[in-house]
Amino acid sequence: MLPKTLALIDDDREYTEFLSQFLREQGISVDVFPDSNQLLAHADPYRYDFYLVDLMLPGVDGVNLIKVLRLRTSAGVLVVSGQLGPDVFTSVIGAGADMYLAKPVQFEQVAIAIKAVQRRAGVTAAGNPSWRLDRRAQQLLAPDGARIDLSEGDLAIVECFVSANGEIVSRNSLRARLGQGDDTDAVDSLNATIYRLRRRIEKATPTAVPLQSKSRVGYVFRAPLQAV
Amino acid sequence: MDLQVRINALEAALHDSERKFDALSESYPIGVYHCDATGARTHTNERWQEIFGLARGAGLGHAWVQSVHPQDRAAVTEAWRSAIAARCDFDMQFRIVRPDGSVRAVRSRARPVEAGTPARGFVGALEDVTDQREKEQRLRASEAFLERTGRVAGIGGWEVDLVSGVVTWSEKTRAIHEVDADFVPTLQKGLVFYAPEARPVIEDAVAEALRLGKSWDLELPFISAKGRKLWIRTFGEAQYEGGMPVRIIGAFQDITEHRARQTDLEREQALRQHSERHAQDLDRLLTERSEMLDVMAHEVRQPLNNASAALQSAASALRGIGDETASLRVTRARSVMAQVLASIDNTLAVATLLARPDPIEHADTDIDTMLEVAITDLPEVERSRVRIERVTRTRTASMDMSLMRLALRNLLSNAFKYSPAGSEVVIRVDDSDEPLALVIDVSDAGGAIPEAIVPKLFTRGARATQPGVSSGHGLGLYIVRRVMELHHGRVEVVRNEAAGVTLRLWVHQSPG
Repeated sequence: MLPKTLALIDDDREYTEFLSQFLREQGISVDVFPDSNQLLAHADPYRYDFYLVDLMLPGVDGVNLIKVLRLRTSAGVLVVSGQLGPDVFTSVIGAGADMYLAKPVQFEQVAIAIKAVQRRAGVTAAGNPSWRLDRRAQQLLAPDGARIDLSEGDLAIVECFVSANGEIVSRNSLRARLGQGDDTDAVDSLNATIYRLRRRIEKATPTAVPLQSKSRVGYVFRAPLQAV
Repeated sequence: MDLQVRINALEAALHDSERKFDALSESYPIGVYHCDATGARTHTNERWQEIFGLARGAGLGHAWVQSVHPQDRAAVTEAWRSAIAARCDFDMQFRIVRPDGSVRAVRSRARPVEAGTPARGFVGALEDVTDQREKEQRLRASEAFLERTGRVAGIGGWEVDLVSGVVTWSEKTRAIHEVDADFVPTLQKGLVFYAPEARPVIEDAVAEALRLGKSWDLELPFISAKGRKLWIRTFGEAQYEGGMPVRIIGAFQDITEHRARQTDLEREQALRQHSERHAQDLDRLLTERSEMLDVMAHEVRQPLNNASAALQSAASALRGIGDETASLRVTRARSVMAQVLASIDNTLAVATLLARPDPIEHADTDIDTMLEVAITDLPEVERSRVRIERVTRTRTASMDMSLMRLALRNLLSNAFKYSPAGSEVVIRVDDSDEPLALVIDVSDAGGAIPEAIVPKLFTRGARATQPGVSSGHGLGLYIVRRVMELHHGRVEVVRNEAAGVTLRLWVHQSPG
């Protein structure tokens, strides 16, 4: 479940010392970079299985570092930061981080978060991750063979993801497809529709559901999805 | 002969006198007329003819009556009749119409001639008063206008004639003073209405105006005849003729209400300025406090965690060498640190996280991870008391993980505190469709919450006092409520009995 190698990018010496010691005890090979530039100047900065990033860093700041990492690797990225503020979360997730954990943290909590990221991201990397839309049966087929019945609304949404081919589908186009306006009720209604759909899939299969919300923008189906 | 001579001499004298009268009469700037005892005109001078617009001789006899304005004719005829009958003066203003149609106002005055004339007629003078009358009309109209506007604007006028000593007040001025109809104003009586403290001020102003010709414009306290306390605005100036002040004129206005409004306004402004200053001070203090809190957040909390981690590794090292006693003590030290941290976290949360005006950030959150992280926030020794009961397999929900972690930690910490040591605490995760929500129950085996406390359970500062239980700051459940409100959800007591308490969190899934 835990990654084999991990890059810890944080300038808090005490924290990195104890955390790296803790993670090594869990069997992870940890490299510590007190400065993001040092990671980027490393011979092979993109070879790590996992990245643990603080936001307030000397050198390239955390959010930009995540963007750079995301261009080159699909490894898990967990942000552990004490930075507060309403925009922090959005910018971090928007940059491509998988999870955000607010400091202070106990090291067990870091481990829990790492495992969760691995669990969610790991599926896409493993074996046959392809999801399928069975138009005739009006069902979504999970990689493990589970079948999920789709309502008319669900079907319209899944069709959107098929056409988007892994790209983000905006809230507006989803609402348009569902024939909804853009008032508050419609916003609530789209959230509800997506939540119900994902809940139904999660109940049908233990496989991580790649249907993810992109804050304020829209939704993305982060796995191969084809119609049959 | 003598008689003839005397008659001739008399005639000559009469003739001379008539010539003189005619010459005099013709050169008069006013109309002159003669009439006999019946009122028939026997003589009119040039000016008279000019005023009537008639040719010489055309108005003689009773012909002039035709020139009198039809509406005035009866009155004029009647007045003449009575003057003739009573042998008294005639004096009347009336209108005449000239042959060209123009209307003139005239004043005609005549006096009976008694001596030496058997005719017993009248000698009269005629003036054209048309222009004068128009002027008077205009003046009356403008006086009426002033009086009217004065009434509307609440402004009274007054005048002191310094030569005659006559003081005139307009109706409005009298109304402001609230004096009786028979009150006769004088300069001195007028000054008495000012409030005692204002009297020297107005007296000086009047003296200055008289001596130096200065005008005044003052707002002064005033007491009306009926004892009402007012504020008035008084304006006055002296008018000079030939270097001597002849009168003082002025205006007078009741500004009590205006002044009251202004005073209110000033008071309000002062109050607002005061509040603004106060707000600025508070703002500055808040900024300072928030900076201090940031320092706590960054400089205190994580180092405490680091120290806790160090203690943990020390404990496991001690266990490794078989020193269980020391290991246990280190573990207890760690638990104390965890309590300190939780307390700091709650204080910080109330001060910063929950007070922020921005909407919270909902994000797909792994429910199990959130639960696990929240449980790990609790002292290690207590963690094993928690059992998670998964009624639904829903794994992802929209929420702010940091805030939900805080809320759940507080619920769990409360459950531990108010239930028997070692007893089980259950987290039950279920779905709801109406409303669409994730439902998280936290149940303990502690005794019931006293009824008196239940209504204010989720307010700041509410805490149960229980023997042997150290109470916190009463922030815990308040934080839970605020977090749920920020999620458009709620927290409620769903079970409260001797066997235990269940608190339920509704995490709504519709809002964006």
